[in-house]
Amino acid sequence: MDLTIHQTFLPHLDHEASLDFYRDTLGFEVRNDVEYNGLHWLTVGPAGQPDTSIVLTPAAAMPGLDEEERRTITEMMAKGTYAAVNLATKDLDGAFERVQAGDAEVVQEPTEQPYGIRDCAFRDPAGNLVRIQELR
Amino acid sequence: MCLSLTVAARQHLRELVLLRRVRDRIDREESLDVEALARGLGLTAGDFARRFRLAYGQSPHGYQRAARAVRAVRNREAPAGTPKVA
Repeated sequence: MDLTIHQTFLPHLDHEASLDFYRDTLGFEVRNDVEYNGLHWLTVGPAGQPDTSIVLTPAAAMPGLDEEERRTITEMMAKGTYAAVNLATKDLDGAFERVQAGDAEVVQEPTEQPYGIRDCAFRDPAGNLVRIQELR
Repeated sequence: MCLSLTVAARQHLRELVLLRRVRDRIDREESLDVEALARGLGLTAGDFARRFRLAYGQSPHGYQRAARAVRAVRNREAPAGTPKVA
């Protein structure tokens, strides 16, 4: 087998707010924008890495959920317990400065963790945890 | 989906976002000053602790202990999880 990690999904509550974060603040390119009934599925990813994408997906829009399940998902996103992604860069401090300058919600400044990595963390506009690790 | 939310539901989600910011702060800070965290939200300490427990299922101190225990496990697993540049 020769599998790659091609796409993964993160929920959004407001596609324009999430686009501002992933495109304008993180600098990702927008690879696709699929609209259906006013909802948007946005495929984004870092330039130079076309084989791996994040699909920003309308929260709780998948069929087969009842009202209570939709509410639970939305509450977990607000609480910050629903979804997360780990990114990585060789220039952690530069990345932190740029994301912070983009007015993102800072969770953690660059920190040397006792478990052997140095990282920082933000919340995206939907409440997803975006952790950035330093490659070294 | 968001358009169908009631005013009360929106208010509830806004409160959860505020509690999330407090929880993120608990995660990154060594000390835990419930009075100060409550003041930041304009709540009494008792009201803040009650709302935190409703949202996260445990008290702020209980949450901090549990989160530290999870991090301690992670620390023991560190060598295998250390990222390397390819």
